[in-house]
Amino acid sequence: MTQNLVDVRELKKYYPVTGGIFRRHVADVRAVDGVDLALARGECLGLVGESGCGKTTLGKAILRLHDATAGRIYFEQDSDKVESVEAMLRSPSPSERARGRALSKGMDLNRMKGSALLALRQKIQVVFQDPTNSLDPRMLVKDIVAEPLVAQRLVKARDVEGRVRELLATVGLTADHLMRYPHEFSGGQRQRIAIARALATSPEFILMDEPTSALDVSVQAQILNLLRKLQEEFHLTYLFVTHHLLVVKYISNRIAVMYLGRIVELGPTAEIFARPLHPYTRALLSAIPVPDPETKREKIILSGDVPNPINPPSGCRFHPRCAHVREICRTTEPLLETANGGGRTVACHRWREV
Amino acid sequence: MSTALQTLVETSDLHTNFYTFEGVVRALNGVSIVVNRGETYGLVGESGCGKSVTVRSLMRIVQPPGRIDSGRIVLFLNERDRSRGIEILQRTETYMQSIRGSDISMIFQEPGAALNPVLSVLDQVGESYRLHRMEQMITETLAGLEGERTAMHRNSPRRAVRRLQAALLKAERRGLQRWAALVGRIDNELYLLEDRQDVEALARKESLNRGRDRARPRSGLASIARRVPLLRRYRRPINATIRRHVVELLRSLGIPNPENVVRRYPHELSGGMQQRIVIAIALACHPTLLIADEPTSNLDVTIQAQIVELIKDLKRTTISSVLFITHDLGLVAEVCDRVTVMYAGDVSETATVRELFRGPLHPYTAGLLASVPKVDQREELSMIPGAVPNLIRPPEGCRFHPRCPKRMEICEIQKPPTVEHSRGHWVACHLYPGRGNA
Repeated sequence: MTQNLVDVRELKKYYPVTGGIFRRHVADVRAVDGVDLALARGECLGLVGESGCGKTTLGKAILRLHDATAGRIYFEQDSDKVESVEAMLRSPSPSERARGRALSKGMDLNRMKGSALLALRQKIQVVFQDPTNSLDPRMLVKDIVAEPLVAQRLVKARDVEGRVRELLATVGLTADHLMRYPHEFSGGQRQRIAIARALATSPEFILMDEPTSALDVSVQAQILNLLRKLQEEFHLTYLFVTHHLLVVKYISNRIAVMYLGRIVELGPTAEIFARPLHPYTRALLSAIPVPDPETKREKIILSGDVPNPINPPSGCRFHPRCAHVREICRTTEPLLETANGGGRTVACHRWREV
Repeated sequence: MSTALQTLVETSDLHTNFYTFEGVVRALNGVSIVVNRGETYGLVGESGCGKSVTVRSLMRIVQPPGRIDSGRIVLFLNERDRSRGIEILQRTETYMQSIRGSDISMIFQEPGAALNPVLSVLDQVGESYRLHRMEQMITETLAGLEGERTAMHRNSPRRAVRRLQAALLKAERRGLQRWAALVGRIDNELYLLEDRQDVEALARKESLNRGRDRARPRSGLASIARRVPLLRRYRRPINATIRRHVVELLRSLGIPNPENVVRRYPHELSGGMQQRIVIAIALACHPTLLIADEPTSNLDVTIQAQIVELIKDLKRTTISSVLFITHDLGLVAEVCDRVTVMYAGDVSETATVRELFRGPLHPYTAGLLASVPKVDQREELSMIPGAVPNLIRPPEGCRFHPRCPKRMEICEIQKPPTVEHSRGHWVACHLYPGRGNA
């Protein structure tokens, strides 16, 4: 049985915009607009893009912190079954589609409720960007780390402290730290506490939402190495959301590049860095400042800002900023297509030429 | 080129402390940096290393409970001052106000917090012109009025209005000119007295400083007119002049549709656009030194690339020196000519960018360089153990010694002197015994 740990299909998350006296629904912010993404067990997928491109929203939708507007999220489901259900949902006959919907109900994380959802939450965890905000300032470290254990009733009350000590040891903290409050720690240590809390329920999948962006360079290296070590030790799967491309390069096996709610390119890290296919990926990679004054590279400077996701550009969403724009880019939206084999996909009309 | 290496600003042995309830935070522990004319100078370090405090001390905008306790900051601004700089710690706040935004200006980090949410872009960018370039604005306005008046019919009543406006503006300009002349005289005398420390000179200095603080641009006619309704409208054409300048400035910074942007408020703009507005405020009066305090740290890489290109362009065209503060070593490599690495309020190492990246001397610099992921990173990232120390009780001796892999006994006792290891490459570490204290 082959299976993807997480399989996201056509996921959409719209935020309504209301206006007028009656707060009428006037438009949607299309934060995530049709994303397909699959994570194999034990891999680390880096999700990169500019702020406002929907990468955090996508992560939170997978966690069910936000309920997605449409789409399916399969967690630990058999691939063959997922494919057959997806085929049903795509079929032209309404009865077939209804059958697909009924079948997917038990498998789709997006539609789960109650105890089934609670059980899954054990396997899905998250580490947020800023540990100063994600840790309750009025709770002791031992309570913070124990909270998931208590909430999920995973260990007996008398064993909780032992487990907490064990968790703190795995992230490089000691028992001295148990009876302290988060403000007594430095940023790096706080992030370690957040990681210990995420590990408490022995999850399979952890969403890393910019876990190192708020940290200093020297501490960032410590946390990255820790995350790598933990991934090997516990066989974890990461979805690593960040805008720092060199960090993603260091830690992830595959990269997905998002732009304005859609994935524009996806592939193995080394290949994407060596030969980016999408013009946006190229601009993004060329904009990384390289810590080496000897190498002077050709930079692609994109003009303008990311467009408003309430009213995304027609056709290819990147076309107003793209240097290689043609008529077709303005009218038709490119779909993700396989490129060069090796699991690379790209959504661009002209990737072969440019 | 000899002119390229003239000192513009120099700080020596600067101590800035913050007197908090928990104790005294010794944020700067004797910082000495030199920014030359025509160079881009980088200040790198982790958060809390004192890089922002250094430039805030330089601008004298350290906020309480912080205080500059000792040290010197010398500014070499114009031709007259070059033989000997102006020591700005001895000058008054009003003197600093005349320099800030005009000769030295600063791009603050986090544009969202640096901009005032209740003022439009026009008001915020135009403020620099109002404060520092009023005379020029009035002159330009007068020229415009003159043109308008001659185009009008002889007996038109609006012509009389224009004439009245022009008269009042001229009166205001006279007031400004008188004030500028007075302030110039006082500054000149203060400059001559600067080195003298005898009682007589000190008393004279104090009275001069008081006189400078009290001096205001005054003009009887204009100040009455400003209090009379309807009559006070004479200043309206100045607004149009300022608006024209602001629009022009925004356009030169590559902001699309500046006529429209000028009317907007900060929250209506994107992060990159806000940062450009902050840059526009800093550049309005063509400063000699531009301080950029993490100008891109909250922006996306593509926007960061745009802003960095912009600053590089400006460096080539309008401004003489840039003091670039960042924690991103990649940016330093791209933008700067010379760099200083700071750690916990100390200057660790100063060198040209090329030399620093090729042969870092200080163990902290080396560790910092090694802990950044490279483009071709294969092996595990090396890291510096521990974390930045608390500056209320900083480590004795060299402040880096608890984290240093090459720690020696002397490091725990004595603060290492800064020595010139090779030409232009300064380092403060006991590994490099120098020829005495520098």
